[in-house]
Amino acid sequence: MAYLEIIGLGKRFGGVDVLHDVDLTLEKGQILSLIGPSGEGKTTFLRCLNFLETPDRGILRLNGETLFDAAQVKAKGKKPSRRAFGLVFQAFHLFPQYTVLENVMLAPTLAKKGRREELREKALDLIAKVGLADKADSYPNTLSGGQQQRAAIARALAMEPDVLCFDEPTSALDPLLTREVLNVIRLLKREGRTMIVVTHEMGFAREASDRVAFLSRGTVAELGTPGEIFEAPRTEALQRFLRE
Amino acid sequence: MLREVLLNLLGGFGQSLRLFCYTLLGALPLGLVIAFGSMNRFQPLRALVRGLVWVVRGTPLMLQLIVIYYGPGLINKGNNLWGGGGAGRMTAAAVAFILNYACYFSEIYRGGIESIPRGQREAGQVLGMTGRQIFFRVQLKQVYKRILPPMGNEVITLVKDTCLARIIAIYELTYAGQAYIKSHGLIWPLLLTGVFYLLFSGLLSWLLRREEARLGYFE
Ligand SMILES: Nc1ncnc2c1ncn2[C@@H]1O[C@H](COP(=O)(O)OP(=O)(O)OP(=O)(O)O)[C@@H](O)[C@H]1O
Ligand SMILES: [Mg+2]
Repeated sequence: MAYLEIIGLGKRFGGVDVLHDVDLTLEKGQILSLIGPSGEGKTTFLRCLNFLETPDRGILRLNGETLFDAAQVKAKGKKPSRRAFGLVFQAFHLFPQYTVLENVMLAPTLAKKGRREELREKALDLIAKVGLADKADSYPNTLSGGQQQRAAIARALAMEPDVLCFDEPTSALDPLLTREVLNVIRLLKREGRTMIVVTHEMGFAREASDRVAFLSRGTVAELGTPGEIFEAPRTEALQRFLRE
Repeated sequence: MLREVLLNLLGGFGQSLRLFCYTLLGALPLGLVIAFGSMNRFQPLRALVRGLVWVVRGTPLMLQLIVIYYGPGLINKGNNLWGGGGAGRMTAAAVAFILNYACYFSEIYRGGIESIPRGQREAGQVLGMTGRQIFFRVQLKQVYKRILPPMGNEVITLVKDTCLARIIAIYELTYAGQAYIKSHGLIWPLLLTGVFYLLFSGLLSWLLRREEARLGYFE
Protein backbone atom coordinates (compact mmCIF):
# COMPACT_ATOMS: atom_id res chain seq x y z
CA MET A 1 0.00 0.00 0.00
CA ALA A 2 1.42 3.36 -1.05
CA TYR A 3 1.84 6.32 1.31
CA LEU A 4 -0.45 8.58 -0.71
CA GLU A 5 -3.25 7.07 -2.76
CA ILE A 6 -5.50 9.10 -5.02
CA ILE A 7 -8.27 7.01 -6.48
CA GLY A 8 -10.70 8.05 -9.21
CA LEU A 9 -10.55 11.76 -8.47
CA GLY A 10 -12.97 13.87 -10.51
CA LYS A 11 -14.10 17.47 -10.63
CA ARG A 12 -16.74 19.12 -12.80
CA PHE A 13 -17.18 22.81 -13.51
CA GLY A 14 -20.46 23.76 -15.13
CA GLY A 15 -21.02 20.36 -16.71
CA VAL A 16 -17.46 19.99 -17.95
CA ASP A 17 -15.22 17.27 -16.52
CA VAL A 18 -12.12 19.30 -15.79
CA LEU A 19 -10.66 16.29 -13.97
CA HIS A 20 -11.77 12.71 -14.27
CA ASP A 21 -10.55 9.29 -13.14
CA VAL A 22 -7.28 10.60 -11.75
CA ASP A 23 -5.40 7.71 -10.13
CA LEU A 24 -2.01 8.35 -8.56
CA THR A 25 0.12 6.89 -5.84
CA LEU A 26 3.22 8.26 -4.20
CA GLU A 27 5.66 6.86 -1.66
CA LYS A 28 6.78 8.77 1.40
CA GLY A 29 9.72 11.07 0.70
CA GLN A 30 9.21 11.06 -3.04
CA ILE A 31 8.69 13.94 -5.43
CA LEU A 32 5.99 13.66 -8.05
CA SER A 33 6.25 16.12 -10.92
CA LEU A 34 3.09 16.95 -12.76
CA ILE A 35 3.52 18.15 -16.32
CA GLY A 36 1.11 18.86 -19.10
CA PRO A 37 -0.30 21.45 -21.47
CA SER A 38 -1.93 24.63 -20.20
CA GLY A 39 -5.53 24.55 -19.04
CA GLU A 40 -5.81 20.78 -18.66
CA GLY A 41 -6.43 20.63 -14.94
CA LYS A 42 -3.09 20.73 -13.11
CA THR A 43 -4.04 23.62 -10.86
CA THR A 44 -7.49 22.18 -10.31
CA PHE A 45 -5.90 18.91 -9.19
CA LEU A 46 -3.77 20.63 -6.54
CA ARG A 47 -6.75 22.72 -5.42
CA CYS A 48 -8.73 19.52 -4.94
CA LEU A 49 -6.00 17.99 -2.79
CA ASN A 50 -5.98 21.13 -0.66
CA PHE A 51 -9.79 21.32 -0.50
CA LEU A 52 -9.91 24.72 -2.12
CA GLU A 53 -12.27 22.81 -4.41
CA THR A 54 -14.32 19.88 -3.21
CA PRO A 55 -13.80 16.94 -5.56
CA ASP A 56 -17.01 15.49 -6.99
CA ARG A 57 -15.65 11.98 -7.08
CA GLY A 58 -12.79 10.00 -5.68
CA ILE A 59 -10.95 9.00 -2.55
CA LEU A 60 -7.82 10.42 -0.93
CA ARG A 61 -5.89 8.16 1.39
CA LEU A 62 -2.74 8.95 3.30
CA ASN A 63 -0.81 6.33 5.20
CA GLY A 64 -3.88 4.10 5.15
CA GLU A 65 -6.15 6.81 6.60
CA THR A 66 -9.03 7.99 4.43
CA LEU A 67 -8.80 11.78 4.31
CA PHE A 68 -11.59 12.28 1.86
CA ASP A 69 -14.24 10.19 0.23
CA ALA A 70 -16.53 12.01 -2.18
CA ALA A 71 -19.31 9.44 -1.71
CA GLN A 72 -19.32 10.03 2.05
CA VAL A 73 -19.09 13.78 1.71
CA LYS A 74 -22.12 13.74 -0.57
CA ALA A 75 -24.10 11.40 1.66
CA LYS A 76 -23.34 12.94 5.05
CA GLY A 77 -21.94 16.36 4.25
CA LYS A 78 -18.85 15.15 6.05
CA LYS A 79 -15.97 17.53 5.65
CA PRO A 80 -12.37 16.35 5.50
CA SER A 81 -11.27 15.87 9.08
CA ARG A 82 -7.67 16.87 8.78
CA ARG A 83 -5.47 19.01 6.64
CA ALA A 84 -2.68 16.82 5.30
CA PHE A 85 -1.57 18.96 2.38
CA GLY A 86 0.16 22.27 2.03
CA LEU A 87 0.19 24.44 -1.07
CA VAL A 88 2.70 26.90 -2.46
CA PHE A 89 1.07 29.17 -5.02
CA GLN A 90 2.41 30.45 -8.29
CA ALA A 91 1.85 34.05 -7.13
CA PHE A 92 3.13 33.49 -3.55
CA HIS A 93 0.20 35.19 -1.78
CA LEU A 94 2.22 36.29 1.21
CA PHE A 95 0.31 38.46 3.69
CA PRO A 96 1.63 41.93 2.82
CA GLN A 97 1.10 43.56 6.21
CA TYR A 98 3.25 41.03 8.03
CA THR A 99 7.01 40.49 8.09
CA VAL A 100 8.44 37.20 6.84
CA LEU A 101 8.62 35.93 10.41
CA GLU A 102 5.03 36.99 11.13
CA ASN A 103 3.87 35.35 7.90
CA VAL A 104 5.48 32.08 8.96
CA MET A 105 4.23 32.24 12.55
CA LEU A 106 0.66 33.35 11.97
CA ALA A 107 -1.05 30.06 11.13
CA PRO A 108 0.73 27.88 13.72
CA THR A 109 0.02 30.54 16.36
CA LEU A 110 -3.68 30.60 15.51
CA ALA A 111 -3.75 26.80 15.46
CA LYS A 112 -2.09 26.82 18.91
CA LYS A 113 0.62 24.49 17.72
CA GLY A 114 2.87 25.38 20.63
CA ARG A 115 4.16 28.07 22.94
CA ARG A 116 5.01 31.36 21.31
CA GLU A 117 8.74 31.06 21.92
CA GLU A 118 8.87 27.55 20.48
CA LEU A 119 6.92 28.62 17.42
CA ARG A 120 9.27 31.55 16.96
CA GLU A 121 12.32 29.30 17.16
CA LYS A 122 10.80 26.89 14.67
CA ALA A 123 9.82 29.70 12.31
CA LEU A 124 13.32 31.18 12.43
CA ASP A 125 14.79 27.73 11.66
CA LEU A 126 12.53 27.38 8.63
CA ILE A 127 13.36 30.88 7.46
CA ALA A 128 17.07 30.11 7.75
CA LYS A 129 16.56 26.86 5.89
CA VAL A 130 15.11 28.68 2.87
CA GLY A 131 18.02 31.11 3.03
CA LEU A 132 16.22 34.18 4.35
CA ALA A 133 17.76 34.46 7.83
CA ASP A 134 18.64 38.10 7.21
CA LYS A 135 15.16 38.88 5.90
CA ALA A 136 13.06 37.59 8.80
CA ASP A 137 11.94 41.09 9.73
CA SER A 138 11.43 42.36 6.19
CA TYR A 139 8.05 43.00 4.63
CA PRO A 140 7.13 41.11 1.44
CA ASN A 141 7.13 44.21 -0.75
CA THR A 142 10.84 44.66 -0.08
CA LEU A 143 11.73 41.14 -1.28
CA SER A 144 12.51 39.80 -4.74
CA GLY A 145 10.11 37.29 -6.28
CA GLY A 146 12.43 34.42 -5.45
CA GLN A 147 12.72 35.55 -1.86
CA GLN A 148 8.96 35.90 -1.58
CA GLN A 149 8.47 32.40 -2.93
CA ARG A 150 11.00 30.99 -0.47
CA ALA A 151 9.22 32.82 2.35
CA ALA A 152 5.96 31.27 1.15
CA ILE A 153 7.60 27.83 1.26
CA ALA A 154 8.70 28.45 4.86
CA ARG A 155 5.17 29.54 5.72
CA ALA A 156 3.70 26.37 4.24
CA LEU A 157 6.24 24.19 6.07
CA ALA A 158 5.35 25.79 9.40
CA MET A 159 2.04 23.90 9.41
CA GLU A 160 3.95 20.63 8.98
CA PRO A 161 2.00 19.26 6.01
CA ASP A 162 2.39 15.58 5.19
CA VAL A 163 2.51 16.37 1.50
CA LEU A 164 3.58 19.76 0.18
CA CYS A 165 2.21 20.83 -3.20
CA PHE A 166 3.70 23.46 -5.49
CA ASP A 167 1.74 25.05 -8.34
CA GLU A 168 4.27 26.28 -10.89
CA PRO A 169 6.36 27.80 -8.11
CA THR A 170 8.84 29.42 -10.48
CA SER A 171 6.82 30.49 -13.47
CA ALA A 172 6.64 34.09 -12.21
CA LEU A 173 10.43 34.19 -11.77
CA ASP A 174 13.44 34.79 -13.99
CA PRO A 175 16.04 31.99 -14.41
CA LEU A 176 18.34 33.07 -11.59
CA LEU A 177 15.52 33.31 -9.04
CA THR A 178 14.07 30.07 -10.38
CA ARG A 179 17.29 28.32 -9.43
CA GLU A 180 17.10 29.58 -5.83
CA VAL A 181 13.60 28.23 -5.43
CA LEU A 182 14.31 24.89 -7.09
CA ASN A 183 17.35 24.49 -4.85
CA VAL A 184 15.11 24.86 -1.82
CA ILE A 185 12.84 22.12 -3.17
CA ARG A 186 15.87 19.88 -3.70
CA LEU A 187 16.93 20.55 -0.12
CA LEU A 188 13.48 19.55 1.12
CA LYS A 189 13.74 16.35 -0.88
CA ARG A 190 17.01 15.48 0.85
CA GLU A 191 15.14 15.94 4.15
CA GLY A 192 12.67 13.32 3.00
CA ARG A 193 9.63 15.50 2.40
CA THR A 194 6.86 14.19 0.19
CA MET A 195 6.03 16.69 -2.54
CA ILE A 196 3.91 17.17 -5.63
CA VAL A 197 5.23 19.80 -8.03
CA VAL A 198 3.38 21.17 -11.03
CA THR A 199 6.11 22.53 -13.25
CA HIS A 200 7.08 23.62 -16.71
CA GLU A 201 10.78 23.20 -15.81
CA MET A 202 11.43 19.98 -17.67
CA GLY A 203 15.08 19.90 -16.56
CA PHE A 204 13.97 19.97 -12.93
CA ALA A 205 11.24 17.37 -13.45
CA ARG A 206 13.69 15.03 -15.12
CA GLU A 207 16.52 15.34 -12.61
CA ALA A 208 14.79 15.91 -9.25
CA SER A 209 11.61 13.88 -9.32
CA ASP A 210 11.00 10.22 -8.53
CA ARG A 211 7.80 10.01 -10.52
CA VAL A 212 6.42 12.09 -13.35
CA ALA A 213 2.75 12.27 -14.30
CA PHE A 214 1.61 13.68 -17.61
CA LEU A 215 -1.81 15.26 -17.25
CA SER A 216 -3.80 15.64 -20.43
CA ARG A 217 -7.48 16.31 -20.98
CA GLY A 218 -8.16 16.16 -17.27
CA THR A 219 -6.64 12.81 -16.50
CA VAL A 220 -3.28 11.10 -16.00
CA ALA A 221 -2.34 10.09 -19.51
CA GLU A 222 1.05 8.72 -18.58
CA LEU A 223 2.83 7.96 -15.32
CA GLY A 224 6.36 6.72 -14.78
CA THR A 225 9.91 7.39 -13.76
CA PRO A 226 11.57 10.42 -15.32
CA GLY A 227 13.46 8.00 -17.57
CA GLU A 228 10.27 6.38 -18.84
CA ILE A 229 8.46 9.66 -19.38
CA PHE A 230 11.26 11.64 -20.99
CA GLU A 231 13.21 8.94 -22.83
CA ALA A 232 10.37 6.66 -23.88
CA PRO A 233 7.06 8.52 -24.07
CA ARG A 234 4.34 6.13 -25.19
CA THR A 235 1.38 8.34 -26.04
CA GLU A 236 1.37 10.65 -28.97
CA ALA A 237 0.10 13.53 -26.80
CA LEU A 238 3.16 13.32 -24.56
CA GLN A 239 5.52 13.03 -27.52
CA ARG A 240 3.99 16.16 -28.98
CA PHE A 241 4.11 17.96 -25.62
CA LEU A 242 7.81 17.14 -25.15
CA ARG A 243 8.72 18.29 -28.64
CA GLU A 244 7.34 21.76 -27.95
CA MET B 1 -19.83 92.00 18.83
CA LEU B 2 -17.17 89.64 17.45
CA ARG B 3 -17.01 87.92 20.82
CA GLU B 4 -20.77 87.42 20.89
CA VAL B 5 -20.80 86.11 17.32
CA LEU B 6 -17.94 83.73 18.02
CA LEU B 7 -19.69 82.34 21.08
CA ASN B 8 -22.87 81.89 19.11
CA LEU B 9 -21.12 80.19 16.21
CA LEU B 10 -19.26 78.00 18.66
CA GLY B 11 -22.62 76.88 20.04
CA GLY B 12 -23.76 76.06 16.51
CA PHE B 13 -20.54 74.26 15.80
CA GLY B 14 -21.11 72.19 18.94
CA GLN B 15 -24.40 70.96 17.48
CA SER B 16 -22.75 70.21 14.12
CA LEU B 17 -19.97 68.34 15.87
CA ARG B 18 -22.41 66.29 17.93
CA LEU B 19 -24.26 65.21 14.83
CA PHE B 20 -20.94 64.47 13.10
CA CYS B 21 -19.80 62.22 15.96
CA TYR B 22 -23.12 60.41 16.35
CA THR B 23 -23.14 59.72 12.61
CA LEU B 24 -19.65 58.24 12.57
CA LEU B 25 -20.20 56.21 15.72
CA GLY B 26 -23.38 54.72 14.29
CA ALA B 27 -22.64 54.51 10.59
CA LEU B 28 -19.16 52.98 10.72
CA PRO B 29 -20.34 49.71 12.35
CA LEU B 30 -23.79 49.72 10.73
CA GLY B 31 -22.16 50.14 7.33
CA LEU B 32 -20.15 46.99 7.91
CA VAL B 33 -23.29 45.06 8.82
CA ILE B 34 -25.00 46.35 5.67
CA ALA B 35 -21.92 45.44 3.60
CA PHE B 36 -22.06 41.86 4.85
CA GLY B 37 -25.79 41.81 4.13
CA SER B 38 -25.21 42.95 0.56
CA MET B 39 -22.66 40.15 0.09
CA ASN B 40 -24.71 37.46 1.84
CA ARG B 41 -25.08 34.11 0.12
CA PHE B 42 -28.85 34.11 0.83
CA GLN B 43 -30.25 35.84 -2.24
CA PRO B 44 -33.46 37.38 -0.80
CA LEU B 45 -31.52 39.03 2.03
CA ARG B 46 -28.93 40.29 -0.43
CA ALA B 47 -31.63 41.73 -2.68
CA LEU B 48 -33.39 43.40 0.26
CA VAL B 49 -30.20 45.02 1.52
CA ARG B 50 -29.16 46.16 -1.94
CA GLY B 51 -32.63 47.60 -2.45
CA LEU B 52 -32.31 49.58 0.76
CA VAL B 53 -28.90 50.90 -0.28
CA TRP B 54 -30.30 51.88 -3.66
CA VAL B 55 -33.18 53.86 -2.12
CA VAL B 56 -31.05 55.58 0.48
CA ARG B 57 -28.27 56.52 -1.91
CA GLY B 58 -30.69 57.44 -4.66
CA THR B 59 -32.73 60.03 -2.74
CA PRO B 60 -31.63 63.29 -1.13
CA LEU B 61 -30.51 63.19 2.47
CA MET B 62 -32.68 66.25 3.09
CA LEU B 63 -35.75 64.34 1.98
CA GLN B 64 -34.85 61.45 4.26
CA LEU B 65 -34.34 63.82 7.13
CA ILE B 66 -37.77 65.36 6.69
CA VAL B 67 -39.52 62.01 6.28
CA ILE B 68 -37.80 60.51 9.30
CA TYR B 69 -38.52 63.51 11.51
CA TYR B 70 -42.13 64.22 10.52
CA GLY B 71 -43.23 60.83 9.19
CA PRO B 72 -43.84 58.97 12.46
CA GLY B 73 -45.92 61.83 13.90
CA LEU B 74 -48.14 61.95 10.82
CA ILE B 75 -48.77 58.22 10.72
CA ASN B 76 -49.37 57.95 14.43
CA LYS B 77 -51.30 61.18 15.00
CA GLY B 78 -49.88 63.52 17.58
CA ASN B 79 -47.51 60.95 19.02
CA ASN B 80 -43.96 62.24 18.58
CA LEU B 81 -41.67 59.23 18.39
CA TRP B 82 -38.57 61.41 18.68
CA GLY B 83 -39.51 63.26 21.84
CA GLY B 84 -39.93 67.00 22.05
CA GLY B 85 -37.51 69.87 21.71
CA GLY B 86 -33.93 70.01 20.57
CA ALA B 87 -33.06 66.58 21.91
CA GLY B 88 -35.82 64.93 19.88
CA ARG B 89 -34.73 66.73 16.74
CA MET B 90 -31.11 65.70 17.27
CA THR B 91 -32.17 62.06 17.71
CA ALA B 92 -34.15 62.12 14.48
CA ALA B 93 -31.28 63.80 12.62
CA ALA B 94 -28.79 61.27 13.97
CA VAL B 95 -31.00 58.38 12.83
CA ALA B 96 -31.35 59.83 9.33
CA PHE B 97 -27.64 60.62 9.03
CA ILE B 98 -26.56 57.24 10.37
CA LEU B 99 -28.81 55.37 7.95
CA ASN B 100 -27.71 57.49 5.02
CA TYR B 101 -24.00 57.35 5.74
CA ALA B 102 -24.08 53.66 6.64
CA CYS B 103 -25.32 52.94 3.13
CA TYR B 104 -22.50 54.93 1.56
CA PHE B 105 -19.97 53.33 3.90
CA SER B 106 -21.33 49.85 3.12
CA GLU B 107 -20.49 50.27 -0.55
CA ILE B 108 -16.99 51.40 0.34
CA TYR B 109 -16.55 48.43 2.67
CA ARG B 110 -17.89 46.06 0.03
CA GLY B 111 -15.58 47.48 -2.63
CA GLY B 112 -12.67 47.20 -0.23
CA ILE B 113 -13.42 43.62 0.75
CA GLU B 114 -13.96 42.53 -2.82
CA SER B 115 -10.74 44.20 -3.96
CA ILE B 116 -8.57 41.96 -1.78
CA PRO B 117 -7.16 39.26 -4.07
CA ARG B 118 -8.81 35.86 -3.64
CA GLY B 119 -5.34 34.40 -3.10
CA GLN B 120 -5.16 35.98 0.35
CA ARG B 121 -8.18 34.04 1.56
CA GLU B 122 -7.03 30.86 -0.15
CA ALA B 123 -3.55 31.13 1.36
CA GLY B 124 -5.21 31.34 4.77
CA GLN B 125 -7.51 28.38 4.04
CA VAL B 126 -4.64 26.20 2.94
CA LEU B 127 -2.83 27.06 6.17
CA GLY B 128 -5.84 25.78 8.09
CA MET B 129 -7.15 29.15 9.24
CA THR B 130 -10.88 29.57 9.86
CA GLY B 131 -12.98 32.06 7.91
CA ARG B 132 -13.13 34.35 10.94
CA GLN B 133 -9.36 34.22 11.46
CA ILE B 134 -8.80 34.98 7.80
CA PHE B 135 -11.10 37.99 7.94
CA PHE B 136 -9.70 39.48 11.12
CA ARG B 137 -6.04 38.51 10.86
CA VAL B 138 -5.42 38.66 7.10
CA GLN B 139 -7.98 40.71 5.23
CA LEU B 140 -9.12 43.41 7.65
CA LYS B 141 -5.96 45.49 7.71
CA GLN B 142 -5.65 45.34 3.93
CA VAL B 143 -9.28 46.40 3.58
CA TYR B 144 -8.70 49.21 6.08
CA LYS B 145 -5.76 50.50 4.09
CA ARG B 146 -7.70 50.44 0.84
CA ILE B 147 -10.86 52.11 2.11
CA LEU B 148 -9.11 54.87 4.00
CA PRO B 149 -8.98 57.37 1.08
CA PRO B 150 -12.63 56.95 0.00
CA MET B 151 -13.76 56.92 3.64
CA GLY B 152 -11.81 60.11 4.17
CA ASN B 153 -13.76 61.71 1.33
CA GLU B 154 -17.06 60.69 2.86
CA VAL B 155 -16.06 61.94 6.29
CA ILE B 156 -15.10 65.34 4.87
CA THR B 157 -18.42 65.44 3.04
CA LEU B 158 -20.17 64.65 6.30
CA VAL B 159 -18.61 67.70 7.96
CA LYS B 160 -20.42 69.87 5.46
CA ASP B 161 -23.59 67.77 5.24
CA THR B 162 -24.34 68.41 8.90
CA CYS B 163 -25.73 71.79 7.81
CA LEU B 164 -28.71 69.96 6.27
CA ALA B 165 -29.99 69.36 9.80
CA ARG B 166 -31.24 72.95 9.94
CA ILE B 167 -34.19 71.82 7.82
CA ILE B 168 -35.63 70.31 10.98
CA ALA B 169 -34.61 73.37 12.97
CA ILE B 170 -31.42 72.12 14.53
CA TYR B 171 -29.37 75.14 15.46
CA GLU B 172 -26.16 74.05 13.78
CA LEU B 173 -23.26 76.16 12.53
CA THR B 174 -24.66 77.44 9.22
CA TYR B 175 -28.00 78.25 10.84
CA ALA B 176 -26.20 80.15 13.58
CA GLY B 177 -24.31 82.21 11.02
CA GLN B 178 -27.29 82.87 8.81
CA ALA B 179 -29.32 84.12 11.72
CA TYR B 180 -27.23 87.32 11.73
CA ILE B 181 -28.47 88.27 8.28
CA LYS B 182 -32.02 88.54 9.53
CA SER B 183 -31.36 89.89 12.99
CA HIS B 184 -28.49 92.33 12.35
CA GLY B 185 -28.18 92.61 8.57
CA LEU B 186 -24.67 91.13 8.78
CA ILE B 187 -23.11 88.69 6.30
CA TRP B 188 -19.68 88.25 7.86
CA PRO B 189 -20.81 85.86 10.62
CA LEU B 190 -21.98 83.49 7.90
CA LEU B 191 -18.65 83.80 6.12
CA LEU B 192 -16.92 83.14 9.42
CA THR B 193 -18.67 79.76 9.63
CA GLY B 194 -16.67 78.86 6.53
CA VAL B 195 -13.50 79.23 8.58
CA PHE B 196 -14.87 76.80 11.15
CA TYR B 197 -15.63 74.24 8.43
CA LEU B 198 -12.23 74.75 6.81
CA LEU B 199 -10.30 74.34 10.05
CA PHE B 200 -12.22 71.22 11.03
CA SER B 201 -11.98 69.51 7.64
CA GLY B 202 -8.32 70.55 7.46
CA LEU B 203 -7.68 68.82 10.77
CA LEU B 204 -9.44 65.68 9.56
CA SER B 205 -7.50 65.66 6.28
CA TRP B 206 -4.26 65.93 8.21
CA LEU B 207 -5.22 63.01 10.49
CA LEU B 208 -6.21 60.90 7.50
CA ARG B 209 -2.98 61.60 5.68
CA ARG B 210 -1.01 60.63 8.77
CA GLU B 211 -2.94 57.37 9.02
CA GLU B 212 -2.35 56.64 5.34
CA ALA B 213 1.36 57.27 5.81
CA ARG B 214 1.40 54.94 8.82
CA LEU B 215 0.04 52.15 6.60
CA GLY B 216 2.44 52.93 3.77
CA TYR B 217 4.85 50.20 4.81
CA PHE B 218 3.02 47.48 2.94
CA GLU B 219 1.98 46.94 -0.64
N1 LIG C 1 -13.65 27.75 -10.82
C1 LIG C 1 -13.73 27.35 -12.12
N2 LIG C 1 -14.90 27.42 -12.76
C2 LIG C 1 -15.01 27.01 -14.05
N3 LIG C 1 -14.00 26.51 -14.75
C3 LIG C 1 -12.80 26.39 -14.17
C4 LIG C 1 -12.60 26.81 -12.81
N4 LIG C 1 -11.31 26.57 -12.49
C5 LIG C 1 -10.74 26.05 -13.59
N5 LIG C 1 -11.62 25.93 -14.60
C6 LIG C 1 -11.34 25.37 -15.94
O1 LIG C 1 -10.72 24.12 -15.75
C7 LIG C 1 -9.73 23.91 -16.74
C8 LIG C 1 -8.43 23.51 -16.09
O2 LIG C 1 -7.88 24.62 -15.43
P1 LIG C 1 -6.55 24.56 -14.59
O3 LIG C 1 -6.30 25.92 -14.06
O4 LIG C 1 -6.63 23.46 -13.60
O5 LIG C 1 -5.46 24.21 -15.68
P2 LIG C 1 -3.88 24.17 -15.59
O6 LIG C 1 -3.47 22.84 -16.11
O7 LIG C 1 -3.43 24.52 -14.23
O8 LIG C 1 -3.41 25.28 -16.61
P3 LIG C 1 -2.15 26.26 -16.58
O9 LIG C 1 -0.96 25.47 -17.07
O10 LIG C 1 -2.53 27.34 -17.55
O11 LIG C 1 -1.98 26.75 -15.19
C9 LIG C 1 -9.65 25.18 -17.55
O12 LIG C 1 -10.34 24.97 -18.75
C10 LIG C 1 -10.33 26.20 -16.71
O13 LIG C 1 -10.97 27.15 -17.51
MG1 LIG D 1 -2.35 26.19 -13.43
